[in-house]
Amino acid sequence: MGKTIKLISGDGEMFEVEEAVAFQSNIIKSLADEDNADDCIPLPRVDSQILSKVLEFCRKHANSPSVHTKFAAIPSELCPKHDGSAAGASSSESSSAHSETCRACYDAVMKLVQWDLEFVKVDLDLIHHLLKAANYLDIEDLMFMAVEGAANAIRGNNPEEIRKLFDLENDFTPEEEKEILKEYSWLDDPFEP
Amino acid sequence: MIYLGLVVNKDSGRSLYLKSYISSSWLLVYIARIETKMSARDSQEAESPSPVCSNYLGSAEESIPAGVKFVRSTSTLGRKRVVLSKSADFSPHCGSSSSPKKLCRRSTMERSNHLEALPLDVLVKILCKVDHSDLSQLLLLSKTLSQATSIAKEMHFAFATPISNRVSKEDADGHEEEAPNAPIRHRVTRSRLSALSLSSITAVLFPSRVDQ
Repeated sequence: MGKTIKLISGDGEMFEVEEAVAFQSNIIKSLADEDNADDCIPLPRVDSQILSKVLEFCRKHANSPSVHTKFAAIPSELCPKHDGSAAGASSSESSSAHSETCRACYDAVMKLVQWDLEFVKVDLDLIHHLLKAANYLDIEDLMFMAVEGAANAIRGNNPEEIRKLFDLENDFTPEEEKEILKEYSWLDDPFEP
Repeated sequence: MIYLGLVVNKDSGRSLYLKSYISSSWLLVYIARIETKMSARDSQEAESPSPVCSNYLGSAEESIPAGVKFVRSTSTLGRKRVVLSKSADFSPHCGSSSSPKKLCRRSTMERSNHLEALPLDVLVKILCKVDHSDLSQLLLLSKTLSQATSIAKEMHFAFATPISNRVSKEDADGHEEEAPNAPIRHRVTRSRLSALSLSSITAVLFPSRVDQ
């Protein structure tokens, strides 16, 4: 079906995308299911720049099921190798059995994961906007990847670096700091019995 | 937490994703409970979340424009059907209840205060991906981070094995990594075999390419 959904960003730009792309977002899906006669969905909180990035992500994920959050099961109909040859409804059991054994499906999923990891190797500002957009639009995969991108920035850095990156202010008094240190001193060595 | 035990992961490679999915849904319930407690404390600034959070798990679909939206979603995990509820946007509530003083200080939203502008559940999701060793530093960074870290600790790190980073750190000396809490060796025993006595029964398997 070539049905398209029109989305209007916060600064008035209109994006027209296919249903499969737009329905990655649960919010858009439920808004479109309601009686929207003119198919135009306004998204006041998302800028056009961010929305285009989000839609790029959604386009890539449109034809494969949610690889990050749900059980990564590709139904037989979507498998690149077994195009159309598998019959029957794609219940989760048969599809999971299929993708466990199908090498082509596995490769497709891995490629998608690689693409996603590259997608979030961007500066923190953009990741921040992607996080907010994914939260607002409720796109599970984008949420997962944006969270991964943000965690990459935090992992393995000193407190000063983290403070600089994220522009945090230390609002603890010295007494409170000592309290926390005392309370959580066991955290420093998790292997201690 | 019941559902955590029920779902059987067929493939260990995918279990990571499943775990994060399950924990994220219960995360929201957990945070909702904490926020009801917090809002009871500072009732002046925060809008009361109790009508919002009380019908958390049982609400039907209803949409409030540009506000909080409850979507009931079902998903199939493995062979079980799990009913979940998710809340679309916690940020108006979170910003006001967690730090009213901060909002006054940062009146202009042009300052990119990344982590603090995020809703609490998103922040906790990010922190769940951080290593165990970073947790103690995160607790001291700021109040919001500390709160999110403690939630992440209870929700996730209490159940996750710490990943040992010792291999990845630069130990280029080549000496062996000492085991933690290993007994002190006062006398290092030396091998009783000497190279000379072994020469009759040894052979060079891989001759070196260096011309001598």
